[in-house]
Amino acid sequence: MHIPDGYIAPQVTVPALAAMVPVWKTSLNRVKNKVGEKNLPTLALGAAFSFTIMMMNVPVAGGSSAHAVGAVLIAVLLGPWAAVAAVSAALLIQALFFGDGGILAYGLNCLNMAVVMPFVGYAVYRALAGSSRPGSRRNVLSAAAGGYIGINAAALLAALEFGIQPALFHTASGAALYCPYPISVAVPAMAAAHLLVAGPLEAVITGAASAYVAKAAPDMFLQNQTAADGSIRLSGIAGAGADLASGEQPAQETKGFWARYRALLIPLFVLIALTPLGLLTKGTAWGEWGTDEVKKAVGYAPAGMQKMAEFWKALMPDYSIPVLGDRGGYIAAALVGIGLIVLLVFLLSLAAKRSGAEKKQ
Amino acid sequence: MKTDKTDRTEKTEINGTGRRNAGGTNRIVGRGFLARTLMRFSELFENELYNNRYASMDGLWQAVDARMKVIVSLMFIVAANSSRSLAVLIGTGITAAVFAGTSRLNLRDYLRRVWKYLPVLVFVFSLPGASSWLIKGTPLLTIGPVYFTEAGLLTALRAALRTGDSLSFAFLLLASTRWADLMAGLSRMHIPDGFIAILNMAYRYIFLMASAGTEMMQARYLRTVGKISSAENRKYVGGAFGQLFVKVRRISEEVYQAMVLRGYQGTFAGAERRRLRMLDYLFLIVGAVILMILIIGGYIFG
Repeated sequence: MHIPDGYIAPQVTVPALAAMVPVWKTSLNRVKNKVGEKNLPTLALGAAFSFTIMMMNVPVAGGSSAHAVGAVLIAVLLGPWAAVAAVSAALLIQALFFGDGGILAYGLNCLNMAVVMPFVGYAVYRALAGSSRPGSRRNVLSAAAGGYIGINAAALLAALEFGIQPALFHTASGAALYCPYPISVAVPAMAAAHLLVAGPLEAVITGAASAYVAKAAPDMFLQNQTAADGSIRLSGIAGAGADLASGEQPAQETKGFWARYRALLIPLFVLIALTPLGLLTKGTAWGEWGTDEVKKAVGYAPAGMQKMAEFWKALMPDYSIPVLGDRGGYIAAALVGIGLIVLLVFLLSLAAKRSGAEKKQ
Repeated sequence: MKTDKTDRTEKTEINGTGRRNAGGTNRIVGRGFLARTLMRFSELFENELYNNRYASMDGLWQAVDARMKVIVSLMFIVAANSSRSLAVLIGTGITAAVFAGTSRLNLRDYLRRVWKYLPVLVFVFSLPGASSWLIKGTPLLTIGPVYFTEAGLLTALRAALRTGDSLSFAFLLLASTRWADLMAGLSRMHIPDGFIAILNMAYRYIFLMASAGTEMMQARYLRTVGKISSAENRKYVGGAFGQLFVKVRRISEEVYQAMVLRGYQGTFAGAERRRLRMLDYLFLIVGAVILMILIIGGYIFG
């Protein structure tokens, strides 16, 4: 389920990353409204919990094992908005630490596993559980059903994200530039794996863990059940914290969201607005248009671009050097290019050493 | 019901902390879910150990401000992911390796953590899609009833190289930067303070949680006698998750109380403002120049 970089075009991953920014902000605010200033330890420990359960293998039928996501479990125990922030933070640490999930694909992974999965799973859980007592058969089965449907919804979305790639991004001959599997292959493959293996696993884990918490620490479960509705505030220290927070707004919140983040949001919105243009450019990766393609797209080829094209052709006519044979030009160009890169990095490294030495003095 | 025989019958040697020692003599061996989980936890501790060691070294990436490293890494990752040119993709990988070398990262460890597993997996996973089953054309390589075209193989190779390039820069960034510095850098780049505070705190506690998880799995292993059904084991892990949650909530409560006692009122201390130095700007410029060389290379080689 963790999408790596390389399978999805940046025209899809970057807008998804941008779209997640307001979702994270809303999730932080929602949790803050619910538990007050206690939000920081709740979410941080929630993230550590999410990270840990994604590391633990669960046996599947046949002697093999796989890991669960646990997003629905967190949504059932802490609320869906807390799950958004906690699972997102866990996914980032995972991407950096283990390379599980790409850096550009981080937004998409969050959308699938930290938004769609907990919300769909939680909605199913609430709809089925009704007013049943936590730990009761109905409540546990509802949590399990939430886990099953939540992970399948996320997998379906991931399959669609994979499946649209070959249709949108391919070469003139039709070869895929990113994920090669169309929707007709990606959806059944992902659905089969998740309906038959990952789904039941997630269901058992979600049901068993919620049953355990309801039995071992029912106060925690009940607190979250009521707080999730927004009708009852947490009691004790948590409640005091919530009251304190509602009375004294932290200094950083005095500046509006837009004022604080417009420098980040304006370019992101521009990027989102430009995305459909990117999706329409078939056959050529973004930013790699040749002069002919630019001419076709905008009506003329910029003079500078044409000049550059001629310059390169003049520099390496037919890309061949007599001594090295037909492919010699290519080899020479590659060696020159790599040599230049190595030289630049070494010069930079020398500068870093000198800079470090000066700092020590 | 099928039974999971592997966990008790496999020869598993686990040292006291669940970590593999440097010499690799106390390796956790086995294929069962307990061994796999313990391996994963030990990998976490091992990675953290290496990252701390690398981050304190005296190399190129370690000398540069986290903000510039994030920007340059993203520049290369976006370029590699946007490009369909093999020259750009291979060049990006070579650039990252040269960066790793000048940052005194152990190249063997670098290759193991970046190129050995995921890019190979992505390549293999892409092969059915890259075959004549989905991509038709002039056969370049025929294996039984299917054949591969040049375009098909390129599709699989591109996916693998892009994955490796992204991993390379993510690894360079993490290995050369202490977590606190990385978070401070992100904070200076207008990532919401609340999210940074969560990441910072979560990072501290994942190791505590991993230790707790390791202890639970070790205890289970030591207590297990005979064959246990797969369904029973699944229930056990579900219960273990519940147990961890109860533990987490209690710690969360205690942490909150400790924070309140130390004067926490819901605001987070902003990251220390660090001035960018000449070297940081130079790093950005050289990164941009290298990227231009790669793009020109992509233009020449196609």
